[in-house]
Amino acid sequence: MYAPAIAHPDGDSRGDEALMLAYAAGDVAAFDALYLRHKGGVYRFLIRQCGNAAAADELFQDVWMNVIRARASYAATAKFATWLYRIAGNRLVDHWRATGRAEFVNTDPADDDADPLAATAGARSDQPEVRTEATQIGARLRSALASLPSAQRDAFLLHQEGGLALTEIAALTGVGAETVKSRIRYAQTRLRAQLEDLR
Amino acid sequence: MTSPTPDDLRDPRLDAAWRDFSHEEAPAALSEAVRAAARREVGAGPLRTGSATRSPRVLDATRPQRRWWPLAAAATIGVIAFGLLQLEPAVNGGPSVVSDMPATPAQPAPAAPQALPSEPAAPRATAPASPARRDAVPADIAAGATAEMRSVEMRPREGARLPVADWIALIRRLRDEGRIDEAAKELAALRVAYPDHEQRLPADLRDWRVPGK
Repeated sequence: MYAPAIAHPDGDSRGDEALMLAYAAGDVAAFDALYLRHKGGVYRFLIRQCGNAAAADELFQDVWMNVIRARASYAATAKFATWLYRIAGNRLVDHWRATGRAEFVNTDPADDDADPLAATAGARSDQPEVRTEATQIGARLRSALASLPSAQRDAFLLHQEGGLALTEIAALTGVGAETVKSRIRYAQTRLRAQLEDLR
Repeated sequence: MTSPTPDDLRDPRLDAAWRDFSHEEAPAALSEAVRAAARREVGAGPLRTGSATRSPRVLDATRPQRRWWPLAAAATIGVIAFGLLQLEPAVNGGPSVVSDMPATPAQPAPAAPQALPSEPAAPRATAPASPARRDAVPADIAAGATAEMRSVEMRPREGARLPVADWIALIRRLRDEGRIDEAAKELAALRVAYPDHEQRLPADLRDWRVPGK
């Protein structure tokens, strides 16, 4: 289930789970290595989801504080990244509930059946400010991501930023791996469409 | 994290565009706060260079449970030092007296002074010779110091007054050594210092006159 030991940019060959257990035992350096590996992905996952840097900062800190506090109860029964992004997802749910927005995981299967290209075209045509930013790829991707159904956005971001595999996203979101795969493909199609006229 | 995952969902062009677009990082201050919290939670101190590579022996020696050891060692040393200071006077036989006065040796009793009356309680111009001081300098004399050295050591400073017995011994020694002028000078000084010198001087000095004078 766990990835084999590989060379990480932090120089520690231990896997995420071993690092977390080492930190739980008091090894601060293990936490530093773990943090270095995942801080960027978690931060971008949060800022892409909430679209607000200030809120992302707060959520980011909350997520890692939860990791720190939960170290004693951490058991390596699941991949660390899955556990980490579950914490992030739960924290997002709390945030959206507090701000009156949609929930983290949209389990409505109708989202998966929607025509992503049509939805994107409609969203763009309805938003003049998006059209004025269309010359910038980043702006296009951002708007396309925002227009995605939440389930597709979640699956795409967990895959793209969190580096989670299909089965891990499936376990995290409570759906099958094929459903996750479909959601990611829909999201990719929509995002790719934003790049078509730039070829 | 955008590391590849073992699936067939990667689109290189989209991945490249996404990496250009999505590269935000948490603010450095935020990262520091998180890492500081992580250190705090496990009771570690401030982050130090190379802390990750410290050996288990160093980690063990610096753990909080051992931080009282230096204090205990300092207290033990203090108690031992105090105890030694308390014992020192008994070892040396009493306090020592520091004086710039030359010590007077314990004189072998000459024949004449035995008939002298006791010392007057007149105030002394010199510091009294304590037993410790008497032990200090005459030890050299007893060890065979030269007569010259002995006479220098015994000679009182100008204007000073020696005990009569010591003074008489000094005058006799000077006289016997042929240092007549010095002996006469000391005798004259004794006479000035002790108005009742006629009763104190032995007969050989009372009637002694410097030859040729």
